[in-house]
Order: sequence, then C-alpha cells, then structure tokens
Amino acid sequence: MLLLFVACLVSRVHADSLTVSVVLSDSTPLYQQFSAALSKALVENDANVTIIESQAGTKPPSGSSTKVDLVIAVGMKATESAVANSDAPLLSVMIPRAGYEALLARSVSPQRSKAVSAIYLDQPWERQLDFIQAVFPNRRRIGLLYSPDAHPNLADLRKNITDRGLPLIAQPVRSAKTLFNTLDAVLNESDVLLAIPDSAIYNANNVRNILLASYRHKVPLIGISQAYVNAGALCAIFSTPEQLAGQTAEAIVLFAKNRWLPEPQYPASFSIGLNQGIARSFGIALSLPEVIRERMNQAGEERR
Amino acid sequence: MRSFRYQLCTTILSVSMTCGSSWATDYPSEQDYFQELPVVLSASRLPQPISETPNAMTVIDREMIAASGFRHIPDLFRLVPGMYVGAYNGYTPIVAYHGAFDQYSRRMQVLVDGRSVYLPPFSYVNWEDIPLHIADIERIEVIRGTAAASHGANSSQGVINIITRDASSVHGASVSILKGNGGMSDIAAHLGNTGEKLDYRMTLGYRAGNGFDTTVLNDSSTDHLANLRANYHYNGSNSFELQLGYLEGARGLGIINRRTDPFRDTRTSSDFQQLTWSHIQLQGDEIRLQYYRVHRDFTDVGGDQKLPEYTVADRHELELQHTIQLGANNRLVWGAGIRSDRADSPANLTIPQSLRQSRLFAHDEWRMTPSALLNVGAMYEKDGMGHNNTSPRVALNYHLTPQHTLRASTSVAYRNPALMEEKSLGSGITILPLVYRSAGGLRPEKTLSKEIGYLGEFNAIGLTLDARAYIDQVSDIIFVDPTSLVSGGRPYSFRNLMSQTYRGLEGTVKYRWSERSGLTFNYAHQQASCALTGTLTQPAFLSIVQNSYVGVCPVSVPSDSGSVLITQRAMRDIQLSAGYYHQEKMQVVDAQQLQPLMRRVDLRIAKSFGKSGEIGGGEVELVLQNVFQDNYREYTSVPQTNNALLFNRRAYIAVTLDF
Repeated sequence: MLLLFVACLVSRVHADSLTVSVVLSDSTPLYQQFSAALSKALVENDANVTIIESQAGTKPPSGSSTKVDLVIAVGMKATESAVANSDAPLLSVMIPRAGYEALLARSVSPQRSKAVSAIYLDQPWERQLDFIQAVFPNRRRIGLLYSPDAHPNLADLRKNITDRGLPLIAQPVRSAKTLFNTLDAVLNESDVLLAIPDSAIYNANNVRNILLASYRHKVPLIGISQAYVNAGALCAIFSTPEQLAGQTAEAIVLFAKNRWLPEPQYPASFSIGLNQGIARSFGIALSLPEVIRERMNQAGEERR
Repeated sequence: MRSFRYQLCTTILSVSMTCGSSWATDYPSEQDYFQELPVVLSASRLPQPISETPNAMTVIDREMIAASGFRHIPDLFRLVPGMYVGAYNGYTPIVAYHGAFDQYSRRMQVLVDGRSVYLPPFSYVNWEDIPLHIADIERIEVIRGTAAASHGANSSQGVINIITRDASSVHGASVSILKGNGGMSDIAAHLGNTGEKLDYRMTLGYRAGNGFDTTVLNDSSTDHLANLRANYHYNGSNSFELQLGYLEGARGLGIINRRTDPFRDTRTSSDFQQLTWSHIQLQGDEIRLQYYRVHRDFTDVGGDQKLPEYTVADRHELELQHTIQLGANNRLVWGAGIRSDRADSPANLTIPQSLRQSRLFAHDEWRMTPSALLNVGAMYEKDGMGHNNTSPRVALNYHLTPQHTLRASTSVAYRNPALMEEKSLGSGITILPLVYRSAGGLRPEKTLSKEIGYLGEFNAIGLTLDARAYIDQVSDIIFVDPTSLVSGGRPYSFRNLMSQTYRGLEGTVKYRWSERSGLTFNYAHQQASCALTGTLTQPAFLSIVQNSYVGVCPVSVPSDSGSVLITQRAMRDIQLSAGYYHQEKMQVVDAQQLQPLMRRVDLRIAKSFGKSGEIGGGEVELVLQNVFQDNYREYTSVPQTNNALLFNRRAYIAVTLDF
C-alpha cells in the first residue's frame, strides 16, 4: 500500500487550466480503470485540465503544491479522506447514495461551506422498477431483504413501489442466524427478489445460498452488477466505471466553465446485464436488451 | 487437556457473540457492487427447462409431495402418467412404467442424487431400504421414455431421478410425529445449518406399519434410518459434498399355515457413502468427480422347514463429468464412469458374483436457431458380461413460439441381464426344490423408442399442457424358461424369449388459479402386444408360455389410467387437497390373476401455525387414504392362497414442530 501512483496527466497545459485532484480509494484495477477512463473522456471532451492522481490515505505527491480547484473522490474511502483533508470543492463519484449520505452526515460539520456533490453508483429506484416491469410484465410481487437501519432511502423505494400498485414483500434481517428463514419466507410470497447493496446480506459468502434458494423457489434474483449476473442472478442494471467516468468528465468540464457543481445525481447511462441461460432454466423468456431499454424509455416518457 | 478444551469453547463462544452484535453497521460501499462473486448458477450446469429436454419429464416437487399426503416415496409415482404403482406386500412396492412383468421392475433406472439404487443380484429397487425420508426430497424428476444416452443401461423405459434437499436448505430443527391405523407410526427429526463454508442437514427417522393383512401374511415392518448431507465450500470454485446414509429394518415374512414359509422376522440393513468434488471453471463450466458406495444386507433367519439365507450386495462407482459451454448456443456434457458390483446370495448364486462395468458418454445441446434446439447424445457401455452396447439418442425441440414447443425424438437403450438371470445356480439349500438354474448366454434387452411431444404454456390463464405419443419396441425380452418336464418346469432358467411393442398417448395438464391453489391432471392411454421370438428349452411348455406370458401381455398395461391432484389454500394457514387415482383393470404378467379397476380418493387437510422454521412454528395434518373404502386389489394375492391383498381405508394424523 506504500506504492504511490502519481500520474500527472496533462491534456493541454494552459496558464488557466483547471487543477483536479483525483483521489482513488485504493490501487486495485477497479479504480485504475475509472482513472484511465476519466483521462480518456477528458481528452475526448477537449478539457483544459491538469490531473493529480493520488490514493486515499497517502500524502499528495511532492511538488504538486499547486492549488487544487476540484477534488474528485472515487469511492467511499477516497470520499472519507477528501472530506477530512481538503477544503476544495468535492465531487464524490462511484459511491452508493446511502453510503455517501451516511458519510456526509457523520463527517461534515455544518459550518463548513465547501461545495460537495456526488455522482452515485446505484440506479435510481424509478429506473430499477421500470427495468423490473420491462423485463417481467407478469411478475409483480417484489421481494426485498434489508438490514434494519442501514438504508435511509428504503422509504423512497417503498413509496415508488406502492405508487405503481406493485406488492412489496420486504422483511428485515436482524441477524445472520435468521437470514435464510427470512429469505425462504420472502421467496414464498414473491415473484422476484431485488438485491440491494447491503453487505450484511449480499456478500460473497451468502450469495451462494441466496442464489440456490432463489433457484429452488423459482424466484429470480435481480442483481446490482455484472458480477451478480455472472454468479447466477437473472438480470441487473448497473453503471460501469467507464460510464461513470464519462459523466464525471462532463461535470469537470462544467465546473471548469462556471465553477459550479451540479446537484448529486444518479448515473446518466447504464448497462443491462441478462443471463439467458438462467432465464431458460427458470422458464422465463427474456426480451432483447434493446427492447427492454425501449420499454423503459417509454415508461419514463409516460410518467412525464 | 480438559481445561484447554474449556478455554477453546469459551473463546469461540465470545467471538461468535461479538460477530453477532456487529451485524449490519457498515454503510453500503462501491465494493458491494464490484465485489467478486462465485459462479453459483450457470447455464452449463442447470437442468434444462422441460420445454428443452430431449424426453418427456414429470417433476414432482415438495408442494405436490405435501399435497398428496403420501408417506412412502413409491406412492408419489401415482402422480406420473403411465406409471404403475403396486405392492408385492406391505413393504415391497412395485413401481413400473408401462406395466410390469413381475415384482421386479427392471427397465427403469432409479437414482438418488446421481447414485443408482437399482441393485444386484435381482436388479431392482428395494424402495423401503433406501435411507431416505420422504421429507428429505427436494423434487423428483421422472423421465418418461428411453434415456440410456444420458443415464446408462437399464434406463430403457424411464428414469426416476430423486433429488434430495440441498445441504443449505434446512435452517434449524424440526420434529414430526405421525400416527395412523394399521400400525402406521413415524417419527422424524430434521436438523440443518448454513454457514460461510459449511452447510449441512441431517435426518433421523423411524417408521413402522402392519402391512396388508396380518392374519394371513406377515408383512409388518419397522425401520430406523439416518442420513447426512454436508457441503464444504473450500473456495468460490471448489466444493466438496459428503452424503452418508444408514437404514436398519425388521421386516416380517411368511404365510399362514405354510411350513416352508413360516411367520418370521427378517433383517435388512443398507448404507451408502457418497463424495463429490465439484470444480467450477471460468465461464461456469464444471468438472465433477463423484464416488459412491452402496451396500445392502438382507438376512432371513428361516424357521420350521425354511432354511436361513442371506443376500449381500455392494456397489462402488466412480464417475467423472465435464460440462462445457461451447459458445452461447452449444453446451456439451461428457464423462466416463466405472462401476463394480458384487453380490453374495448362496441360495441364488452359489458363489459370490462380481461385475465390472464401464461407460463413456457425451451429450450435446445445440441451439441451432432461437427456436430450434437439437439434443444429440450417446453412451457406450461395457456391461461386464461380454456385451458392448451403444445407446444413442437424437431429439429436436422446436419452439413454435416461446410458449409452444414441439418435440420429436428417437433413441435406443439396453437392459442388461440381471446377475440372477444370467448366473443363478440355486444350490437348493432351502427344502423347496431348486427354483432357478440359469443357462447363461443372455443378450441384453434392446428398446427402440420413437416419440413426438407437445408442451404448451398458457401463462395468461395459468395453464400448462404436456402431451406425447410414443411407440417403444422391446426385443429380446428376458423371461422365465421352464426347463424340466418332471417337476412342473423346475428348475427354471431365463431366456431371451419375447418381443413387445408399446404404443400410447399420455399427458399432463396443470392449472393454477392462485398461490398454492391448483390442479394437476395426468392421463395415459396404453396398448401393448407381444410375440414369442425365442425358443424354449422344453417345447412342451410352448402353449403354457403362449397363454400365460404372450396372451397376458395386452393386459400387462392398463388401457387407461390417470390421477388428479387438487390443492386449495383456504385462509392464510389452511391447505386442503384431494387426490383421485384411477387405473383400469390390468395384470402384472406373472401375477396369475387380474387386478380389477382401481379408484381411490385421498384427502388431506393441513393447518400451519406460528412462523415456519422458528420456535413455535409448525403444522398439523390429517390424511385419509382411500376415503370411499373402494378396497382395491393389489398386484397379486398372498402367494398361493386366495386372500387378495386389499388396500383398505387408512387415516393418519401428523404434527410437525419447528425449533
């Protein structure tokens, strides 16, 4: 972890170029991938930006004492570090909304006035539900497991689901011991199981038995990433580091123009992951991703 | 040492308590999205949906098992179109597809979690000796039709594939107690836990019953059984599964007033050990290596004029299977296996006999277009008796729409001679005259099967329809050959004597009107005809064989049979179900008398209470079998007496408590 990544990437150095400090949560390929995609997107946007890259928990590279105009914190750990260590405006990216909000509530003292915003990693509930309805027009009962107190924005989800007239079968999981009995109870009453980012429930150890139970009950799991789809979830919508980097680049360009950070926002673009093999085994006929996307667009327009 | 152990225990306890309290305090992070996950379900390893299988298939799931009210596994096959379920005595059921020739149903393979329980030397399934409780079953897949290409020899008419509950599917403990008339008494305890690395479930069971008619036939039985299934997940790509089972039974035997077959108790014990290593490769491909051993031991202590005898059977099998996804539209399963069978039964075989069999198989599923799926496969086998057989199968499934599928398939399968048929050398240690002395030199029975099928899903009204028409031609049927003119044919031998043609239509309609409420209707229409194709050792028996085998053949299948199972959820916690089972008259070939029309109605009412799987949760159920007392006659009479085995009205009540 002592390894220091310093990539002083200069796209076009002008005297008035924007200096952006990109703080990565660690040096794993995920963040490298984001960083590379961001540089590429900035070049494509013809942005006049100097980037200083560092890792959370390490000192900024010596000689880079230039004033930082904007901090891009990639991930939870980087955001936590940037909130504590920098006074520059902060754009937190690739971070779940619940994690971001919890972090801000804990870390930022109200008197500090630095601009803070975010590009979330999770999909808005509205989009998630449009997706579920586009994939399964006939599967209405949505099953949900959650840890109590861990998800402040579950209320939004409940409201969204109820507004659509869909039954929600949500059960809190109070301990690891009751997880699988609660899961069985939820699966008994549901048509789909919606995964959420909740590491107490959905982690690499539990996901095996969650997927096996979903298969036994013939209730497909809707994942939150491509990894879920590969593991055996039926489908997922998610945003890739590249897609998030593109959106981040646009925010940087906007900031360079008017020194203003947009409101916290959900990912603008997303990918659809489908597991055709699982679908066949569940006896579910999946539409093509383009058709699903088109249905989602239509649903969005109808709401407007 | 003592104090050290104590210390260790308290440490573990305190650690787990700390873990418990730290539940769910973390905020979601991007790692929740980008974490690596093991491939759990993958297309290359999951079973095919019914609309894409190369054979017709009936799936009996837990919900159907519960609704049926059956407490013995063989009864469940009454829910399969075209399946015959009868009884030789209170603890020896007969399960056969397309009628039966005798109490041994030799043309159907039976597997429990991939372990063959079709055992030497008689080559049949001792259903009650399997260390398995009906509640251990997750589902049963019954392949209706020839499936030797994927399941090997003896799958010539069908395959029963019992899949037990996964090690991870039982959380906590439950105890159930059942009491009924006719001495029906069951107690079972189930226990299971799911952990990060290790999942397990175990069952302890006791069951007892008086059989049919204790005054003329001693067919009561008492069983104790235990089984364990444990799965250890070494890492995301390697897991090891261990299964163990043991059963010990005391079974009555004997017929009233018969000195050569007096009332007595026999003992049976059986056990198995099974170890499976499964390795998941990138893309979800799988390598699976499985070893199992099955052992069965039967002891008849004899009495009066009946001498003691015993039969011991052992099977070891090792199988390697590799499933590969070859691109998006093609998956291949190939593998090889060796099996070693040994049987010791001095009254039947004189000396212990061994068989070493081996096989090589491959099956390819090719999605030629989005609507056309081709299944092609073959199995090459050495049967250990000098025969090398190749069993191919080709099936085309065509989806007219995703909801409507047509299937056409043709296949070949063999049924290997049983050790008892090929190598019986009865030494005459009973007082009875020598019964069987095999001439040997038998050829495997061969089945050529052709079928067309349709599967429709009418999702809007909750209805599915599965229908097929088939013609199966079986040649070289092995049957009893009377060899002596002196003592009424004894000793008998076995020969490839007959050929038989089966034609039929069968189907299943499932209709679901609400959650846990629906109907399953099964129907089969069957025809059979036979011809004598072999020569008898004693041509003088020709007319007897013509009359009693070939002549009976057309009624060896019921012309029409079927079942209806209706289940209805009433209120939130009450489940009502009714089953109707119908079978036109028929005769198992060697039964010597007709089994008349059977009509049976079973009813079940169950009420659940508390929260399932938690303390205070459970269920109480009442089951009535043959409610209208339409006492139907079983397979045969008590051998050589005129007392028919009658299935009378029965009732039981059962309570299950969860902990």
